[in-house]
Amino acid sequence: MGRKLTITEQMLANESNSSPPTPDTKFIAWKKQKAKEMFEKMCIRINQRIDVKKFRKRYNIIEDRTLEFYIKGMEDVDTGFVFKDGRVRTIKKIADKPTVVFKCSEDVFLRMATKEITLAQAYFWGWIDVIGENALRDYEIFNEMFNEYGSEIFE
Amino acid sequence: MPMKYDVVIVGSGPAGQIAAETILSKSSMSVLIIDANPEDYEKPCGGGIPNDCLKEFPFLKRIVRHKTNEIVARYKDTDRPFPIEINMVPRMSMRKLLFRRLRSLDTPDLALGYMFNTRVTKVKRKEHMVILNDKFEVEYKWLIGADGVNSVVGKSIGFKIQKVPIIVAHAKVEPAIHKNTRCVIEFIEDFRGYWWVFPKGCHSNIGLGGDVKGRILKQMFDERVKEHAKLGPFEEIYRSAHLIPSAYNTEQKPYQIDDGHILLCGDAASFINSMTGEGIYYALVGGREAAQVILGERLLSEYPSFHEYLTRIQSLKNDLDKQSIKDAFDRIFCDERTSRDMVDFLFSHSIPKPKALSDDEKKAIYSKL
Repeated sequence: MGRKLTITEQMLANESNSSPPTPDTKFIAWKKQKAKEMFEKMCIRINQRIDVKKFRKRYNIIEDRTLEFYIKGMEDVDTGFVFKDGRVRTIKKIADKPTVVFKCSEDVFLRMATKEITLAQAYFWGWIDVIGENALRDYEIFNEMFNEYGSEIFE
Repeated sequence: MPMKYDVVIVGSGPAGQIAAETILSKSSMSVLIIDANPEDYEKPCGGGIPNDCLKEFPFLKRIVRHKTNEIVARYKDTDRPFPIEINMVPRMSMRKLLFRRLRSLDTPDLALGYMFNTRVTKVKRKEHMVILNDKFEVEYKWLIGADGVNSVVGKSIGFKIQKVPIIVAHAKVEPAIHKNTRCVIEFIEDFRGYWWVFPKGCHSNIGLGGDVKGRILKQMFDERVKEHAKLGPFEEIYRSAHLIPSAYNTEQKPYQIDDGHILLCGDAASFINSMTGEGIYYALVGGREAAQVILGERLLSEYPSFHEYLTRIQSLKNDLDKQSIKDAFDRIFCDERTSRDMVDFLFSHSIPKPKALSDDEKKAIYSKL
């Protein structure tokens, strides 16, 4: 029995079944793959470097939290995060209602990924929509994640 | 026969004065300034203006008496300092300076009139006329309402303003206790507002403003002053109370053109940063922009230019108001980076426009991910 395809692979397979790949569809698939990898690497790094239990205590986060990035055009990329049992992991799809969803465009996401702006700035400027419990303390988690990753890549 | 002016400005605060100056310096229109207060009226306020304001209006630099380089946000025992420069300006000096600038424009050809201690009692929009002290009529082509939170001009077009009382005092205090280089903004449990201490060199400007009845605010202020006086030598030398807008009116336009040619600015237009209470910057910029609309230099749809910014601030304020003061403070100030971003935003006076990335730029970024 073969390996179960990931959503991205399924999407790529569907795309290749339905229409021949064009430079655009290839570019989109490539971008999604890179974004997926980025989120996964961010989780690995933050788990290596930061004790989420302590982090939660520091920011008075009592409950486990499910945070999701909703990047327009990248809905099928694993952009959800679960903070549970002191670990962070990405999830493909958030089954229950997420604690909070950050909706933004790809441009805004990339500006955050490159550390040009912070999540908080994007929120204050109205560049992202926040749905759910908007606890500004969550922003620090993302700042740490983007910083951990962005520092290595873009500095 | 009624007097006739091209532009009648009701209110001679910063908004009205700057509007008059802008019109007179760029056109030959006749301008009449009417104020219910005397020429030497001093409006109570904190009198702190941020650097952005000095950049826009550099002539104000000459009346800066004191500078602080830090704002401390305080809640109970927690202090959060932010490195923001605030320039302390005596309101009376600003008023005098703006009048001097206006009078310096006055020539025999220039029609500039002043009427102090004169109340506008009615606005007849259709006739383009204001009634003064229930007796005299003045006809206008344009009417600027810069007459504060209880604006008669604003009422004539149905403009709504939410108001809160503030109490401001000047006090001689012990400099060692009240560091002369920092402004303190202190939040109080179950109180939508804040207590402030702005050092001004030789004295401190202290105040309290928030969403309670004036009588209760006075009691709270007296208690605070008592607490303060325990810290060291303290002498209150002046006290005054006033109403300011508490929210930016995001629903109504601060103008009506069809049958009145009326523009509002300053407190009359609720031009206020509802999170910080800052109003002078918006009064000055709003006054200038109202004049630009009259001069044909600015589209009415672009008035005021800071509409989007103040609307965003108001939206953030509405979100915070749903929480207790403790929760709000915890959430904003739990993290240094986020709270710094917020304070920077609150003093930025604008929202940057998101620049779209090209495919090549995206490719370059994704390649690195």
